[in-house]
Amino acid sequence: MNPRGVAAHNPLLQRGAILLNVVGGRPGGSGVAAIDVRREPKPGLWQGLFRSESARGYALTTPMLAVLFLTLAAPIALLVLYSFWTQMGLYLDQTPTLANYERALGAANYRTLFLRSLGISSLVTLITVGIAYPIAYFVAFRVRRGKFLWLIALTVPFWTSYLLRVFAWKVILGYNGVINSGLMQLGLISKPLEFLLYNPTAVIVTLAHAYAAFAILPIYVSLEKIDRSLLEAAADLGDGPFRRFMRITLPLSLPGVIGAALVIFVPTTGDYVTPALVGGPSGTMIANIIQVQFGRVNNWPLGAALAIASMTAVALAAIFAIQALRIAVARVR
Amino acid sequence: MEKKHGGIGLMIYAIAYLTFLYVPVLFLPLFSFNDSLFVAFPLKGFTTKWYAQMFEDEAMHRAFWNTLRVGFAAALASTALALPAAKALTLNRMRGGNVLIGFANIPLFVPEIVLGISLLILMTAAKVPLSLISVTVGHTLFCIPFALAVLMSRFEGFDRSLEEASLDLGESGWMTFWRVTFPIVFPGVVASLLLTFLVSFDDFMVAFFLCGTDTTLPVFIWGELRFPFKLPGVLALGAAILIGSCILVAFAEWVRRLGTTGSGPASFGHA
Amino acid sequence: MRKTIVVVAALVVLGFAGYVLLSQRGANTFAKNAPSGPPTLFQWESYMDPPFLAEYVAARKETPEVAIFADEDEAFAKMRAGYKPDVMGPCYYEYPRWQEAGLLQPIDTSKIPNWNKISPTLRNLPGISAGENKVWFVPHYWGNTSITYRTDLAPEYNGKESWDILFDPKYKGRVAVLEGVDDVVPFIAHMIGIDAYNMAPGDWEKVQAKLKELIPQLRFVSSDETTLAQSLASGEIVAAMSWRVTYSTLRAEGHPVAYMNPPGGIFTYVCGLVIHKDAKDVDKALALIDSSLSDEAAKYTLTEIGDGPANTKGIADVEDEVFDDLGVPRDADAFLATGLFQQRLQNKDAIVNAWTEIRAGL
Repeated sequence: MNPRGVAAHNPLLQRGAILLNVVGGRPGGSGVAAIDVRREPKPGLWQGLFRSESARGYALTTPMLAVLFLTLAAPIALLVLYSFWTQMGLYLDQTPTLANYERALGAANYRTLFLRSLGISSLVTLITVGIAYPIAYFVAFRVRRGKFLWLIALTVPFWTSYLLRVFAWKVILGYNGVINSGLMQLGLISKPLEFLLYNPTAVIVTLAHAYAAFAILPIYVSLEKIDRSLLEAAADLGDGPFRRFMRITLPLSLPGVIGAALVIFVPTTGDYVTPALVGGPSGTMIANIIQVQFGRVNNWPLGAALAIASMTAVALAAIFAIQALRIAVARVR
Repeated sequence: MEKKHGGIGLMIYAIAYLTFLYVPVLFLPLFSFNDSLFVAFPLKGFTTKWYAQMFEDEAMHRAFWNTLRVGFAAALASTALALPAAKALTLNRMRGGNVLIGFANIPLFVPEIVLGISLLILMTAAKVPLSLISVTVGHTLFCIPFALAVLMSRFEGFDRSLEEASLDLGESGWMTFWRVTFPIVFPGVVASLLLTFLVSFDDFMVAFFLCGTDTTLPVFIWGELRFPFKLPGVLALGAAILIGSCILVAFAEWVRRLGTTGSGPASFGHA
Repeated sequence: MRKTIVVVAALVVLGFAGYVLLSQRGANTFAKNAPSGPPTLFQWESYMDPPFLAEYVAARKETPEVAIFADEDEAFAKMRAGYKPDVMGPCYYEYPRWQEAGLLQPIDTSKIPNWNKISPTLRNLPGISAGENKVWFVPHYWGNTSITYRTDLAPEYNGKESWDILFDPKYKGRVAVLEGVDDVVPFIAHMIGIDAYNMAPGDWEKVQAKLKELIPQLRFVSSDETTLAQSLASGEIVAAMSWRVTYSTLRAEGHPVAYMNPPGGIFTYVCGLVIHKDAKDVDKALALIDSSLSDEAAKYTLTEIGDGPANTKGIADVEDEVFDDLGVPRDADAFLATGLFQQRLQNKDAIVNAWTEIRAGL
């Protein structure tokens, strides 16, 4: 068991590593310490002080795990519990029942909504990762100096309020927004295009913009890690650029791509802000309905059942997609 | 030659991509100077009155301070919790270490709406009134994966023999941590504090469910977006946040450079 | 090495100073609700502005705490979760739910000097009485729900105002409605001759069918003032179900709009003030309500916000032009006497549920 190995394949840790690179001053993700002192630990003293490394490790992680347990595991357990109860007006009937799940999964209405949400999130993920990959590639392989500047430049917009960024898209896609007024000034259209806003496309564009940084960073890290001598070796063996990319670069950057896809796909299925602001009726997503159950409708048990059903659906879809991707890449190779 | 050619194509693409990233964001400052309640082209005229409105809006100030307090508390709490855990998970050979890492990363793979509503249920069940404290709890949870990731990557490659040397020389465990370990991971701690603060500062979806009547800035903004006469003030605020973020990033870069030009522990690992 | 230590020290000092500063600046937010402190007002945006508090501040030499809600469901949920303000500002159609949840206490009107300035119709709204000189709900202001439309873009409706514009095939995709069921359901029901507050068996199905017919006509569903005003201003939509304030905002900015007043009448909502069951100090709560009803507050409600104050006497000396500009009837008492009030929907939970699904296009 090597925790470092885990860290290296964890997309989030890679993302963290980027910020660390930006702020903390440790270039590369190599984890190799360039310091002269290179002694093996002295077993006797070490073990004398810390009887069991594992035990000491658990002791150090306990506070964090306790907090995670209290604020994550316990609430989700409660959420599951709630999903088996029934809302009776202002009060809760605590007799266990599957009625909420029957309604969440059985009703054609909710099924449509689940599918629509998964569809929108999948498209957002594909588009975001697709357009971010060349940028990550560019920074990793083409930029020689000022990589940090590029990375900072690529992340600054994400430190402005998420809400305002969504709102900004409303301004751009709006009826007399930037795109429409621009096209009209150029004389390309005589009256504003109405299909830009209040539909699933608007949701996709807005989300793709909002989550761009989440795609760039993990892909960048996995590209940066690729051993350049592999590419040279392939070139020596006569592989052209395209073949080199397909056989070496792409497969080796796959962990980053998958990581990026996950940190985009999962949160976007739970986003209720963007659909509410730019989605219109046809762009409504499952999270909007869940939010309404906890607010206006005040039916927490049904909301809980919908939340759990959607989480499960997302997990299944993600696992399926990752497997499919792995197989596809293996074929190409 | 071929390489260079591809480089130019990619460069053009990169510039187009940056445009895509920045243009929407830059509309906030643009319209914050527009002399009209309505956010639409053509621009009406230049004004700074929305900034004046922003400085006079006491509710906005309160929300701003609330957000700072929550962000500060959540950053401190999540970094403090993650620091020992990151050390253990990186340096100690632990059974089940990667299971624990996986567990700590769950908050990132659970839709924020679910985090929000499940914490809301917990608070309600525990009869804890919603307040800034409940928001802080939610943000701490949400920030732990970020703090852990940053700190773990700082600990990677940490040479344990330094600690041993210190212990050999008779320093206590606490002093060893304080004089040897902490200075080395210090840039990681700063990075973690900055990142978690930003994550908390920007969060709307969790805070929306956990806010009492004291709101954080994003929740406050959400309410204000509904009122046409408040909107320009919110745009001014957005522009101010944008500038504030840039200053913060510049500051972070400055810290980084300070750390890397010297030869002290902060430059540890700098090749 | 030295540099690092300097940075560490500087950051620690800065962080500490920052934290202390923040703690003091925000101290009141954590340590609030001291027993004898000022009352807390939980209100809609704008209705906690200084004019509503002025009399209270002058008399008691303390400023009430204010908290804002953006919609009543959110406010209700917060209070059910344990938040205890002293005075709240729900609307007439909403407060019965709060009353049933045990959040309210009867209000002694004899202790509110401004009570008698309230329009008689509003003082006698059905259901608000809680016995001799006692009410659950003190009317504070009123407004209307009708349609704001662009007179230049839909000129055929000038002089022939009709809510049917929502279903006009010519404006498919260029109209919008409010999202709250308390607004949209009675409105659409009224269009097909059904009284949503008193539905016969089968009526609800007819209303649902009409609502489903409405969805494809709509550009969006929103109670967001900004969205409504901006899209009417830009011509993105031609007409929208809206409150009068939307119209007032647009009119003030010089846009060619009108607020429909069709033959069938338009809806009137009334919002008011209620006292929390666990109010810290009932006397202070009553004084705060009285302050919100002052003449100055009434004028402010009309001229600055664009709603009609319940204290109709307070606006008696406002010039006619102001009323004309806002489109508010000069003789508010007479208008209210014939008002079509938005009240509580029976079986609201089921209605909300159905509407949630219909508006998602399902």
